[in-house]
Amino acid sequence: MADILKTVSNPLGTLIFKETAANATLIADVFAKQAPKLISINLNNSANTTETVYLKLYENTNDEGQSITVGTTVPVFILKCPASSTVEMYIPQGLTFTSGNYAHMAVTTESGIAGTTAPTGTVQVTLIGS
Amino acid sequence: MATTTLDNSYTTYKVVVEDDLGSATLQNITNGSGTVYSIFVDNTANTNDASVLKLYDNLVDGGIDVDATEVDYQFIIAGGARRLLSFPTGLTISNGLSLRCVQSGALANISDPSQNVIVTVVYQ
Repeated sequence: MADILKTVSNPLGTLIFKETAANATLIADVFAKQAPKLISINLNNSANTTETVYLKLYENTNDEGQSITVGTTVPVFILKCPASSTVEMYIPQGLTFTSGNYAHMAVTTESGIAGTTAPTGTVQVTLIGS
Repeated sequence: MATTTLDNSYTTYKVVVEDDLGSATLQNITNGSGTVYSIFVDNTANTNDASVLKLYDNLVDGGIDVDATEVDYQFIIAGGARRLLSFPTGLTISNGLSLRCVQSGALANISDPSQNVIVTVVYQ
């Protein structure tokens, strides 16, 4: 038996973003780059025992997310997570944001586009991208 | 639109293959509650146009209002791309999974993708 330990030179996801108390306020430019590729998501709603929550990702050309309004702007990505649970999602080839655009996020208790209500319990979001 | 459901006694998993998912809703494919493990979207026929996959878990029967019902899940697949959306621990469906595919994420959009979008759902 021979063991080998190497540092991966080109890992699939080189960026990890974590928000430990996500809410309906827009967090701009989560990957700090244009046209990021989203590889994996962990939406942890286990501490929030009463509400289903929705992770919403947006994109535009402004790194501060100006002109994006949670509840009005159409998200490019929506993921539901029931109360007291965690959803994990993995996209081997990644979902690439539009060239020139930055990725932004928010979490609300309403499905779809509309809704600006923040969760009352703690919601953690981890995004892996490149 | 042609939907094939693979369902047999040798596995507890079921597979639904829709070879032309458009704005018309494919309603309640899980026949109630279930767990989705993967969704494969083939948008290669739409070379330059993204397609938006919309999933619903809020109605068992009776239909989705295609330009008014808010989605539970929404994923944009780039033009010319195939993407596997994998849920290793499962995606819990409480009421029944319905899905459709349109040209944009706007609530009122009811435009079919120009070319066929093939969607394969594996669930239990």
